[in-house]
Amino acid sequence: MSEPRGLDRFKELARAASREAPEPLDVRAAVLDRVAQSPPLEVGVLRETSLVAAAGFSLAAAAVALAAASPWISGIFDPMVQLLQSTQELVP
Amino acid sequence: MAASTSFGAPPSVRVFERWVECVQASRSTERVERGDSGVDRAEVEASLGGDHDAFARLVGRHQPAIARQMLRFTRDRGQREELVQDVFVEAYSSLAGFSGRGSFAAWLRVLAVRTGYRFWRERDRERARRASADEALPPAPDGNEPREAAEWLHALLAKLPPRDRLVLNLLYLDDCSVAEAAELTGWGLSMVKVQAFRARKKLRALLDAEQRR
Repeated sequence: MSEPRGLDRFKELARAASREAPEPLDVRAAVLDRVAQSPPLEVGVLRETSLVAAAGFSLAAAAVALAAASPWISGIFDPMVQLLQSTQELVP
Repeated sequence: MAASTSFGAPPSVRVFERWVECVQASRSTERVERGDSGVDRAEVEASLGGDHDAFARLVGRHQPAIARQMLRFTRDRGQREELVQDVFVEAYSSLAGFSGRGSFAAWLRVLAVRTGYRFWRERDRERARRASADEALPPAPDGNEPREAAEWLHALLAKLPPRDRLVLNLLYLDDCSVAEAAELTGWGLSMVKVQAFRARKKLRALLDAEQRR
Protein backbone atom coordinates (compact mmCIF):
# COMPACT_ATOMS: atom_id res chain seq x y z
CA MET A 1 0.00 0.00 0.00
CA SER A 2 1.41 3.41 -0.88
CA GLU A 3 2.20 5.81 1.93
CA PRO A 4 -0.65 8.35 2.28
CA ARG A 5 0.69 11.89 1.94
CA GLY A 6 -0.43 15.48 2.27
CA LEU A 7 -4.04 16.03 3.16
CA ASP A 8 -4.74 12.29 3.58
CA ARG A 9 -2.01 11.98 6.16
CA PHE A 10 -3.29 15.15 7.84
CA LYS A 11 -6.76 13.60 8.15
CA GLU A 12 -5.32 10.38 9.52
CA LEU A 13 -3.33 12.28 12.14
CA ALA A 14 -6.38 14.42 12.97
CA ARG A 15 -8.38 11.26 13.69
CA ALA A 16 -5.57 10.00 15.91
CA ALA A 17 -5.27 13.35 17.70
CA SER A 18 -9.01 13.46 18.38
CA ARG A 19 -8.58 10.39 20.60
CA GLU A 20 -6.14 12.17 22.91
CA ALA A 21 -7.38 12.28 26.48
CA PRO A 22 -6.45 15.39 28.50
CA GLU A 23 -4.78 15.07 31.90
CA PRO A 24 -7.39 15.41 34.66
CA LEU A 25 -7.68 18.88 36.11
CA ASP A 26 -9.87 20.46 38.74
CA VAL A 27 -10.68 24.16 38.40
CA ARG A 28 -13.63 24.28 40.82
CA ALA A 29 -11.85 26.15 43.62
CA ALA A 30 -10.23 28.67 41.25
CA VAL A 31 -13.51 29.30 39.42
CA LEU A 32 -15.43 29.82 42.65
CA ASP A 33 -12.74 32.25 43.84
CA ARG A 34 -13.06 34.28 40.66
CA VAL A 35 -16.86 34.09 40.73
CA ALA A 36 -16.89 35.32 44.34
CA GLN A 37 -15.00 38.43 43.24
CA SER A 38 -17.43 39.18 40.41
CA PRO A 39 -20.58 41.28 40.98
CA PRO A 40 -23.76 39.32 41.82
CA LEU A 41 -25.95 38.15 38.96
CA GLU A 42 -28.83 40.53 38.22
CA VAL A 43 -31.27 37.99 36.92
CA GLY A 44 -34.43 39.65 38.21
CA VAL A 45 -33.67 42.98 36.59
CA LEU A 46 -32.97 41.36 33.25
CA ARG A 47 -36.15 39.32 33.28
CA GLU A 48 -38.33 42.27 34.36
CA THR A 49 -36.88 44.51 31.67
CA SER A 50 -37.55 42.02 28.91
CA LEU A 51 -41.06 41.36 30.26
CA VAL A 52 -41.90 45.08 30.30
CA ALA A 53 -40.51 45.49 26.77
CA ALA A 54 -42.60 42.56 25.50
CA ALA A 55 -45.74 43.93 27.18
CA GLY A 56 -45.09 47.37 25.65
CA PHE A 57 -44.74 45.91 22.16
CA SER A 58 -47.94 43.88 22.59
CA LEU A 59 -49.91 46.93 23.73
CA ALA A 60 -48.62 49.01 20.82
CA ALA A 61 -49.49 46.25 18.35
CA ALA A 62 -52.99 45.90 19.83
CA ALA A 63 -53.56 49.67 19.59
CA VAL A 64 -52.54 49.71 15.92
CA ALA A 65 -54.82 46.74 15.15
CA LEU A 66 -57.77 48.38 16.94
CA ALA A 67 -57.26 51.69 15.20
CA ALA A 68 -57.04 50.03 11.79
CA ALA A 69 -60.21 48.08 12.47
CA SER A 70 -62.33 51.09 13.56
CA PRO A 71 -64.94 52.11 10.89
CA TRP A 72 -63.86 55.75 10.92
CA ILE A 73 -60.23 54.95 10.00
CA SER A 74 -61.01 52.12 7.56
CA GLY A 75 -63.55 54.45 5.84
CA ILE A 76 -60.80 56.91 4.95
CA PHE A 77 -59.11 54.37 2.72
CA ASP A 78 -62.29 52.72 1.34
CA PRO A 79 -63.49 54.33 -1.96
CA MET A 80 -66.90 52.56 -1.66
CA VAL A 81 -67.72 54.49 1.50
CA GLN A 82 -67.09 57.80 -0.27
CA LEU A 83 -69.19 56.67 -3.27
CA LEU A 84 -72.14 55.71 -1.05
CA GLN A 85 -71.87 59.00 0.82
CA SER A 86 -72.10 60.98 -2.43
CA THR A 87 -75.13 58.84 -3.49
CA GLN A 88 -76.86 59.66 -0.20
CA GLU A 89 -76.30 63.34 -0.86
CA LEU A 90 -77.98 63.04 -4.31
CA VAL A 91 -80.89 60.86 -3.13
CA PRO A 92 -82.08 62.14 0.22
CA MET B 1 -7.34 1.40 20.31
CA ALA B 2 -9.11 0.14 17.21
CA ALA B 3 -6.65 1.98 14.98
CA SER B 4 -3.64 0.34 16.60
CA THR B 5 -5.11 -3.17 16.25
CA SER B 6 -6.10 -2.62 12.62
CA PHE B 7 -3.14 -0.66 11.31
CA GLY B 8 -2.39 -3.27 8.68
CA ALA B 9 -6.05 -4.11 8.00
CA PRO B 10 -7.70 -3.38 4.65
CA PRO B 11 -9.31 0.08 4.31
CA SER B 12 -12.87 -1.31 4.48
CA VAL B 13 -12.19 -2.80 7.93
CA ARG B 14 -10.72 0.49 9.13
CA VAL B 15 -13.76 2.40 7.81
CA PHE B 16 -16.08 -0.04 9.61
CA GLU B 17 -14.14 0.31 12.87
CA ARG B 18 -14.18 4.08 12.57
CA TRP B 19 -17.94 3.94 12.04
CA VAL B 20 -18.39 1.74 15.16
CA GLU B 21 -16.29 4.20 17.17
CA CYS B 22 -18.42 7.13 15.97
CA VAL B 23 -21.69 5.35 16.82
CA GLN B 24 -20.40 4.42 20.28
CA ALA B 25 -19.18 7.95 20.93
CA SER B 26 -22.46 9.55 19.82
CA ARG B 27 -24.49 7.12 21.95
CA SER B 28 -22.48 7.86 25.06
CA THR B 29 -22.75 11.62 24.40
CA GLU B 30 -26.52 11.30 23.98
CA ARG B 31 -26.74 9.34 27.22
CA VAL B 32 -24.77 11.94 29.12
CA GLU B 33 -26.81 14.81 27.68
CA ARG B 34 -30.17 13.11 28.29
CA GLY B 35 -29.30 11.98 31.80
CA ASP B 36 -27.72 15.20 32.99
CA SER B 37 -29.83 17.85 31.31
CA GLY B 38 -32.50 17.85 34.06
CA VAL B 39 -29.86 18.00 36.78
CA ASP B 40 -28.00 20.73 34.86
CA ARG B 41 -31.12 22.87 34.58
CA ALA B 42 -31.91 22.52 38.26
CA GLU B 43 -28.34 23.51 39.13
CA VAL B 44 -28.38 26.44 36.72
CA GLU B 45 -31.54 27.70 38.45
CA ALA B 46 -29.93 27.20 41.86
CA SER B 47 -26.76 29.02 40.70
CA LEU B 48 -28.87 31.92 39.46
CA GLY B 49 -30.37 32.02 42.93
CA GLY B 50 -26.86 32.46 44.39
CA ASP B 51 -26.05 28.83 45.25
CA HIS B 52 -22.31 28.58 44.58
CA ASP B 53 -22.20 24.89 45.52
CA ALA B 54 -24.62 24.13 42.70
CA PHE B 55 -22.33 25.98 40.28
CA ALA B 56 -19.32 24.05 41.63
CA ARG B 57 -21.18 20.80 40.84
CA LEU B 58 -21.83 22.03 37.29
CA VAL B 59 -18.14 22.86 36.90
CA GLY B 60 -17.12 19.47 38.29
CA ARG B 61 -19.37 17.61 35.88
CA HIS B 62 -18.44 19.52 32.73
CA GLN B 63 -14.75 20.33 33.25
CA PRO B 64 -13.42 17.12 31.61
CA ALA B 65 -15.26 17.91 28.36
CA ILE B 66 -14.14 21.54 28.39
CA ALA B 67 -10.54 20.53 29.17
CA ARG B 68 -10.67 18.18 26.17
CA GLN B 69 -12.02 20.99 23.96
CA MET B 70 -9.25 23.32 25.13
CA LEU B 71 -6.57 20.82 24.06
CA ARG B 72 -7.19 22.15 20.56
CA PHE B 73 -6.25 25.68 21.55
CA THR B 74 -3.09 25.23 23.58
CA ARG B 75 -0.66 22.45 24.42
CA ASP B 76 0.51 24.23 27.56
CA ARG B 77 -1.14 22.79 30.66
CA GLY B 78 -1.05 26.05 32.64
CA GLN B 79 -2.64 28.03 29.82
CA ARG B 80 -5.21 25.31 29.31
CA GLU B 81 -6.20 25.38 32.96
CA GLU B 82 -6.57 29.15 32.75
CA LEU B 83 -8.73 28.85 29.63
CA VAL B 84 -10.98 26.26 31.27
CA GLN B 85 -11.42 28.65 34.20
CA ASP B 86 -12.23 31.50 31.79
CA VAL B 87 -14.95 29.41 30.17
CA PHE B 88 -16.65 28.70 33.49
CA VAL B 89 -16.31 32.26 34.78
CA GLU B 90 -17.88 33.52 31.55
CA ALA B 91 -20.57 30.84 31.85
CA TYR B 92 -21.36 32.09 35.35
CA SER B 93 -21.64 35.72 34.33
CA SER B 94 -23.88 34.90 31.36
CA LEU B 95 -25.88 32.16 33.06
CA ALA B 96 -29.08 34.20 32.72
CA GLY B 97 -28.61 33.93 28.94
CA PHE B 98 -28.84 30.13 29.02
CA SER B 99 -32.30 29.58 27.60
CA GLY B 100 -32.52 25.90 28.51
CA ARG B 101 -33.70 24.95 25.02
CA GLY B 102 -30.48 23.06 24.19
CA SER B 103 -28.27 21.17 26.60
CA PHE B 104 -26.03 22.99 29.05
CA ALA B 105 -23.08 20.97 27.65
CA ALA B 106 -23.70 22.32 24.14
CA TRP B 107 -24.07 25.88 25.44
CA LEU B 108 -20.78 25.54 27.35
CA ARG B 109 -19.05 24.16 24.26
CA VAL B 110 -19.96 27.27 22.28
CA LEU B 111 -18.44 29.42 25.06
CA ALA B 112 -15.34 27.21 25.06
CA VAL B 113 -14.77 27.46 21.30
CA ARG B 114 -15.22 31.23 21.33
CA THR B 115 -12.95 31.62 24.38
CA GLY B 116 -10.27 29.56 22.65
CA TYR B 117 -10.61 31.51 19.42
CA ARG B 118 -10.30 34.80 21.31
CA PHE B 119 -7.16 33.42 22.99
CA TRP B 120 -5.63 32.61 19.59
CA ARG B 121 -6.44 36.02 18.20
CA GLU B 122 -4.90 37.79 21.17
CA ARG B 123 -1.78 35.62 20.93
CA ASP B 124 -1.61 36.23 17.23
CA ARG B 125 -1.67 39.99 17.70
CA GLU B 126 1.02 39.73 20.38
CA ARG B 127 3.33 37.78 18.12
CA ALA B 128 2.77 40.37 15.38
CA ARG B 129 2.14 37.73 12.76
CA ARG B 130 4.24 35.26 11.91
CA ALA B 131 7.67 35.07 13.36
CA SER B 132 7.15 31.31 13.53
CA ALA B 133 5.89 30.93 9.95
CA ASP B 134 9.33 30.12 8.62
CA GLU B 135 10.31 27.84 11.47
CA ALA B 136 10.71 24.26 10.32
CA LEU B 137 8.35 21.71 11.80
CA PRO B 138 9.65 18.50 13.30
CA PRO B 139 9.02 15.61 10.88
CA ALA B 140 5.47 14.25 10.90
CA PRO B 141 5.07 11.27 13.22
CA ASP B 142 5.21 7.87 11.56
CA GLY B 143 2.58 6.22 13.72
CA ASN B 144 -0.84 7.30 14.93
CA GLU B 145 -0.14 7.82 18.60
CA PRO B 146 -2.75 10.42 19.70
CA ARG B 147 -0.48 12.69 21.72
CA GLU B 148 2.28 12.82 19.12
CA ALA B 149 -0.25 13.41 16.37
CA ALA B 150 -1.91 16.22 18.36
CA GLU B 151 1.43 17.91 19.13
CA TRP B 152 2.48 17.85 15.48
CA LEU B 153 -0.89 19.06 14.17
CA HIS B 154 -0.90 21.87 16.72
CA ALA B 155 2.54 23.03 15.53
CA LEU B 156 1.48 22.73 11.89
CA LEU B 157 -1.81 24.61 12.28
CA ALA B 158 -0.11 27.34 14.35
CA LYS B 159 1.35 28.53 11.05
CA LEU B 160 -2.14 29.44 9.82
CA PRO B 161 -4.27 32.43 10.85
CA PRO B 162 -6.77 31.79 13.69
CA ARG B 163 -9.85 31.56 11.43
CA ASP B 164 -8.28 28.82 9.32
CA ARG B 165 -7.01 26.98 12.37
CA LEU B 166 -10.42 27.09 13.97
CA VAL B 167 -12.35 25.75 11.00
CA LEU B 168 -9.81 22.97 10.36
CA ASN B 169 -9.79 21.96 14.01
CA LEU B 170 -13.57 21.81 14.15
CA LEU B 171 -14.01 19.89 10.91
CA TYR B 172 -11.11 17.45 11.20
CA LEU B 173 -10.18 17.08 14.87
CA ASP B 174 -13.59 17.56 16.46
CA ASP B 175 -15.33 15.86 13.52
CA CYS B 176 -18.04 18.56 13.41
CA SER B 177 -20.46 18.91 10.53
CA VAL B 178 -20.63 22.27 8.76
CA ALA B 179 -23.86 23.04 10.68
CA GLU B 180 -22.21 22.23 14.02
CA ALA B 181 -19.19 24.35 13.14
CA ALA B 182 -21.52 27.22 12.23
CA GLU B 183 -23.30 26.94 15.56
CA LEU B 184 -20.08 26.79 17.55
CA THR B 185 -18.42 29.72 15.79
CA GLY B 186 -21.48 31.89 15.27
CA TRP B 187 -20.64 32.10 11.54
CA GLY B 188 -23.24 31.37 8.84
CA LEU B 189 -23.22 28.06 6.95
CA SER B 190 -21.85 29.60 3.78
CA MET B 191 -19.20 31.45 5.77
CA VAL B 192 -18.03 28.14 7.27
CA LYS B 193 -17.91 26.53 3.80
CA VAL B 194 -15.95 29.42 2.29
CA GLN B 195 -13.60 29.54 5.28
CA ALA B 196 -13.06 25.76 5.09
CA PHE B 197 -12.31 25.97 1.37
CA ARG B 198 -9.72 28.71 1.89
CA ALA B 199 -8.21 26.98 4.91
CA ARG B 200 -7.84 23.67 3.04
CA LYS B 201 -6.11 25.48 0.21
CA LYS B 202 -3.63 27.07 2.61
CA LEU B 203 -3.18 23.77 4.41
CA ARG B 204 -2.34 21.97 1.15
CA ALA B 205 0.26 24.62 0.34
CA LEU B 206 1.70 24.32 3.84
CA LEU B 207 1.85 20.51 3.65
CA ASP B 208 3.53 20.68 0.24
CA ALA B 209 6.10 23.14 1.60
CA GLU B 210 6.75 20.85 4.56
CA GLN B 211 7.24 17.85 2.28
CA ARG B 212 9.74 19.76 0.14
CA ARG B 213 11.89 20.68 3.16
